[in-house]
Amino acid sequence: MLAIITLTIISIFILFLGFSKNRGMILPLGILALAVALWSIASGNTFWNEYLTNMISFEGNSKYFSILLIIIALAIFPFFHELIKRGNEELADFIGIILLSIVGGLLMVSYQHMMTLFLGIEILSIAMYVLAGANRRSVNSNEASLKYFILGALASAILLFGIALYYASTASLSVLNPTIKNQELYQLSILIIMSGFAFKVALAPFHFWAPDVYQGTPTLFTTVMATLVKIAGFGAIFQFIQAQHSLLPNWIVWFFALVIVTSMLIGNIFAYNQSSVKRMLAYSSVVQAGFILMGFLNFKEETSWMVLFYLSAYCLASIVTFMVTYFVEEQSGTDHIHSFAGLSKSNPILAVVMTVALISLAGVPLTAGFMSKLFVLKNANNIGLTSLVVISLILAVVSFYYYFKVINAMYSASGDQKFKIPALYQILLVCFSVALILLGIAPSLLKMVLQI
Amino acid sequence: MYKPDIIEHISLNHYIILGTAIFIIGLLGVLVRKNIIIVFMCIELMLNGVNLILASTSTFYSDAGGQVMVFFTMAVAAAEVSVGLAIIVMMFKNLQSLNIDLFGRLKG
Repeated sequence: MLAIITLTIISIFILFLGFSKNRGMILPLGILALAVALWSIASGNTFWNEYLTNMISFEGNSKYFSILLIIIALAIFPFFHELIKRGNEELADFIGIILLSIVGGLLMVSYQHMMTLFLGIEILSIAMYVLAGANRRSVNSNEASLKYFILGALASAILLFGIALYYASTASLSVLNPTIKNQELYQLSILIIMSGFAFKVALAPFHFWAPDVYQGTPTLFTTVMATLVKIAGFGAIFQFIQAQHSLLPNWIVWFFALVIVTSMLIGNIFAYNQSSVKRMLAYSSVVQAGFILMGFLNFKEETSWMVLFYLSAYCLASIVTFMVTYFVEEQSGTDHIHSFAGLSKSNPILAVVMTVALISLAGVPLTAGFMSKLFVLKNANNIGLTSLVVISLILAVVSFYYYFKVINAMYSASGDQKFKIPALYQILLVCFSVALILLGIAPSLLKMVLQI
Repeated sequence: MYKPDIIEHISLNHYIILGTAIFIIGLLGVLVRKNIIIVFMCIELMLNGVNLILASTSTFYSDAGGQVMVFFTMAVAAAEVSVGLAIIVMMFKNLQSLNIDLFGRLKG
């Protein structure tokens, strides 16, 4: 509870700080709020927890999801210093809104009651609609914001419809231990709730908003969208399945398998020929979401670690790829693949970290991406879905093509003008790529980090 | 919780079917209509169909949770509309139109 209170109060304070001339305070204050929230969740602080009776619980796996969410937020936060450099007037608004969206994410990964789930999803989504339209004068940003808003509101309404049917079939809004009164209605509600979740984490066939929104949103906020929203969404799916897995109907495995295969097929087919790197990364995130869902096929104790490991590998790689895209876009004005040509000459460090992140997304051995794919494929194999494993292996090999197209462009010649980025960002990006390789060599490091 | 007798005259299934019908009318409106304001109203219609199911179920099972949830849904819908109208104003300033079809610029 202390984490939620701190984040909310400081984000409102930051919104008011926007009126003052002193902008230097805003970022350190945001990082402080995140640090306090991280400490209170990691130490199991029980301040005012009695007011949350059976609505939220920061224990067990939701604690690890919350810690991962806040760590990834802390990793992204230093990059928002870019907003100050450009003399952005709305810095306070953006930082405040991002802190509020993290509150929504925390509710989503720790809910015990449908009301908290719905509130969490809405707090996170409404914040994201605003961030998608952050660049008011650009029509692309407007379009991204409007598309995200209409499709996101539609998804929320569908999820709420599922919740209402769940309520009608069990006579209780609590996620834990429902007594089912009407089996058909319950199964229908599970299908609709899962579709609503799939919409939020951009799993095909509910992915069609993702490429447009990722491309139109200012790149700094696309990073937030690709990492925090995914962690919160999969945390919510995990919480739901953890509470219900003994009651779930048998067809849920086939529903998941269908969604996984469509995500991988559609993501790979459309990513194949993209010239915009952001759009390519959006389709690749659809493929990665399919892989993460594979971890839920066989629900048992280790599922949470598999999902957490995949999420942390994916998020670290996403931060690096989107931030490098941001710096290249700043330099050349476009995220077209041609603007990456010769990056190894003009800024070798960016080229190296981008290469590490891309091969981790592709799943080359000795990176975190490889280990995470290995875990989820082993999980699918354990319940006898060998054909699913074979299909996803073939599609993973296909995905090498579009990742290596970017790498090939970076190391081809014809880079002339050199450009520099501040040393802090370089150090951070190098740290994240080193972390990707370390996690690939010793996956158990993640357990140590999350069990602080 | 107080449960009026009259509500027993119509079974819960009828309320659920009515709510679902309103929800689907709203869904079709979102998919078919071109004017953003109408699309907005259709989303509200979907939420109200859901609210009907929540409130009637809550009365039938004498559980207050559903009716409290309706209040939260209304509050959240109001917050959503305030952000949505801001987005529409922003779009209208740049394009001078409310037609959804103008938005096809982002393509692969």
